[in-house]
Amino acid sequence: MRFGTRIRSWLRVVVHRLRAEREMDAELRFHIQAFAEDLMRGGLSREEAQRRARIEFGGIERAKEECRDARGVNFVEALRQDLRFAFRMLRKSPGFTTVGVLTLALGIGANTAIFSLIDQAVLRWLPIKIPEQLFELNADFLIPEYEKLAAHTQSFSEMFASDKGPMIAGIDGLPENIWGRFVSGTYYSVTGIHAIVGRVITPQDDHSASSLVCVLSQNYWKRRFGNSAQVLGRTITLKRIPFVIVGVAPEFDTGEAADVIIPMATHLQLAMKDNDTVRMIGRLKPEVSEKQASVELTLVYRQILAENAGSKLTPADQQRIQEKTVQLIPAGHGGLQRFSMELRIATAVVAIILLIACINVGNLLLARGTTRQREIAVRLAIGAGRWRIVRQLLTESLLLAVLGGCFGLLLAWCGGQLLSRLISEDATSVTPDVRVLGFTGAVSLLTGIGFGLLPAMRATRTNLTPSLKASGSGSGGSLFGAAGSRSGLVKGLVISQIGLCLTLLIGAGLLLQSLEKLSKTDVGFEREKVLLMWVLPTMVGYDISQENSLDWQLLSGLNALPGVRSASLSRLQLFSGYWGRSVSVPVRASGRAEDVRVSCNTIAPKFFATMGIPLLSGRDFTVADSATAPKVAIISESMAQHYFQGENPVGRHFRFTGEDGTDVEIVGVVKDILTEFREEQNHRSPRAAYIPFTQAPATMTGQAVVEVRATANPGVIAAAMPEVARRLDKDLPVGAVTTQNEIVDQSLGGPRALTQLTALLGLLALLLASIGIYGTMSHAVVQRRKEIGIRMALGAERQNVLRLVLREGLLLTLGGISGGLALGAALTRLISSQLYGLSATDPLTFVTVSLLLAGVAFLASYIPARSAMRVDPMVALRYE
Amino acid sequence: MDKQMELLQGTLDMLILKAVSLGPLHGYGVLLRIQQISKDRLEIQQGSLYPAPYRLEHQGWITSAWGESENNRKAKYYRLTAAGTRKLQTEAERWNRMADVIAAILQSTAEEV
Repeated sequence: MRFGTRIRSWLRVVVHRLRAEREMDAELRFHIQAFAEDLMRGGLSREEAQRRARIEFGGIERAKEECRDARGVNFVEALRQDLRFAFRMLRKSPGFTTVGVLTLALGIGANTAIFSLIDQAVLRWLPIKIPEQLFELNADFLIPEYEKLAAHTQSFSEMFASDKGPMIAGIDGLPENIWGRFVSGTYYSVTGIHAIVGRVITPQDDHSASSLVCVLSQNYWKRRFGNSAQVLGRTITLKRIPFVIVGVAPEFDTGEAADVIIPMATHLQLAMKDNDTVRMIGRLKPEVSEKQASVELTLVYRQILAENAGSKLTPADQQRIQEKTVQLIPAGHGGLQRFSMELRIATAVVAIILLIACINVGNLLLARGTTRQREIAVRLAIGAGRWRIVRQLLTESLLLAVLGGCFGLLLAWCGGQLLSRLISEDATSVTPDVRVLGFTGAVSLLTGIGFGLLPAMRATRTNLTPSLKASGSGSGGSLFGAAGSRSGLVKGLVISQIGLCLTLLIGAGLLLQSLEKLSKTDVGFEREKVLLMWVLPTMVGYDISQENSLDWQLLSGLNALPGVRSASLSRLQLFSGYWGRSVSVPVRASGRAEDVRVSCNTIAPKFFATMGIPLLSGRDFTVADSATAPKVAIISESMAQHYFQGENPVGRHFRFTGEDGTDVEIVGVVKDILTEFREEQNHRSPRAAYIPFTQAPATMTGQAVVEVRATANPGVIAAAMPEVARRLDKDLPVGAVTTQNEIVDQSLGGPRALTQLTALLGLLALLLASIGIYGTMSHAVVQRRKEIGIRMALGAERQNVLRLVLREGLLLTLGGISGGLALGAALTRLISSQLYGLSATDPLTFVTVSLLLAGVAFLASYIPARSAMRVDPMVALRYE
Repeated sequence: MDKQMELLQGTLDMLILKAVSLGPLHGYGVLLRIQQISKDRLEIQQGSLYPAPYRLEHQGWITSAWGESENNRKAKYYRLTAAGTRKLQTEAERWNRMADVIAAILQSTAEEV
């Protein structure tokens, strides 16, 4: 209670400052008045009584000050004064303020942007029921596997399955591209998400016999139906099957958010044909540890797989099953489960930038401390406490940091677009909410104290007499003669700034070279002049034979277009970074059966000619390789080498496991191609098998990308391609026409964004470092103007003076560079996984970047050195 | 004994609490009452009285309100709170104990030691 009273009394005084002051004044005046009246009653004259009363009372102002102190108000009052003074000081030196605020804005802004990304993607709990108990299992499960697992596991109290995919929805007879999400009936009860309108999907809805219902996501409801409550009871057609809208509910998982949510029971009918697996998420029982659950689920999962295989279980299958494990991934956070490597590197980079910014501003403050020495000495001499002055100086730094933070927030808001590309293509902009603001505020305050405390302590540790006596500086052996320890600190800061800057530049240099090498990599096919277009017949309900005949018609239509050299199609787009599910191949050719995973694509005839992939031996697929003809395949060079060392594989056989198990005859061998840059980076060999699309297993049908090699007029052909499709079926969903080049280029998006970010920040660090060197050197030259003047008056050559200053700058630079090289060698190892075609300690990069930095540093100290050389001895000596 | 004594360190707060425990007083009144009770034997500097009521109010022992003075002027009156009453009691006890102990020490003779 006492504490409460204290706070209240304090608040009252702080808030009603004026009234409190008036009351205090009135009370003291009343006292003096009453006292004077008593004295008058004792026989004194009015004037005399007033005078005596005032004298006996003592200093009114002092009494007031003591009263304010007694109420703890003085702190606030002092803060107000400090702030006002700090504002004045900053306004008085606009150059310093601008550089300081911008430098800090850069450091704080970069950190804010990265934080808000990480916060959105990684840190924040989803607003669902007890999110920390939710875990996803790290495998893709078939729906029956999910059902058995959910029924048998003892570790989870409840589970749901979920799967998201693109769909075509018919609304009022018009087709529309949407994201659909299949969820098991338990989804809404496990997550505790409630409907805003109507109801959610229940376990009853998830039985195939029940009527077909769907729930709209809140965003889609708003976007498409304008929040209309009339939406309930309307139907949405998916693959020509009508679904009744029964409710609207929010979707939270950013990576998985869909537009329309439908029961899992319809998965078999509606999902893409290559997609028969689901994600599985469950609520871990509180008493079970993640490790226990993982062990238990692994056992149950292996058991289920063994049961499914039944009597057909071969030793190889058994081996495969024994290798399966189930692990738990926390699922209570946003879409991005792991802290991706790119984000980690970006975090390190922005942290270094903030450090450099702090050092820079700290250095500026130290320099100012030297010039403000007299002011501070005077204030100390007339009785200000050291702590009071430190507080004043800290207030200035904090104000600077807060201003920097405000601009930083603005910067983060604008620059967030570039950063968000690090995690995904759909740009999530930086939204300044409470958490982000809190982070920025905290970083600003810490920064302010970080760069401000040391200079403030230094500035107030003044030996009063010399600073008051002489405003010039002493002399010493080096250019930084002034106060020995202070100049040591300045040097140390400049050196560490150069070192950190070099580290960043080395990182940027490595990433730049890696990107350059990546983009020039031979991908194994000709990426120029190939037009691509997705066709998605499964979305409008084509069965396999309908789809096959459609594909043939499409190919002949496209081949007939003028300017088309050849047209083909494949199930997977080359270089999309996604090769579908590769299949395991036990190879019997060499007498041993081996389980491997190879990339597998289904293609039409002339695919290799269209993509410019050389056929090394054997033949291409033809129309004769139909569904009923003998099964054939074309394999890649490295697959041939690995399994048929030296022998001609054409005419040999292998088998796809998991399918119907018939033998496949190899009819040709083609050159290797890259499926994505990462494959090359990870030194994975591009073993691949191609099969005719007519012989594809059901899971690899339903959609295809057509490839067209143009000899001329790619623009005209691109316009004609959708027309060809529409002529065959006006409802056939087709994607936008792109080029193979764009696809290859896009896959560099992540590395490119990271490289751009690092390079940009590296250049800014270089700028900051050169400002640091320049500032320090020019300050030193100004400080020692007099000494330089004397030296020159005594006959020193201008060249000698120039050399003196340059030598100082060079020593600092060399110190910084050697530190930076050591730090760089230690840190770049951490990014080696992101580097392609060069080692993390690539000597060329280290040397080139060091030279660049040395050059810039030389320039930055040359300018002050020149001005030192031009010092006119007479002017310098008369200067003070 | 007519000479005025300076106040012992730390006793002013207790005296103010005692003074206002006898009835609401304004600042000047507190001064007068202490002088009156002590029969002018205690000397309190006029101006140095003031931080004390502010401190006591800040700590919640007393509260203040504006009212009319004897000669119809507006004055700020201090009154003891419940917490203040308790505080005064413990302070008075402490003081008496302390005074006893000190007196006993000062009265001790060589034989007792």
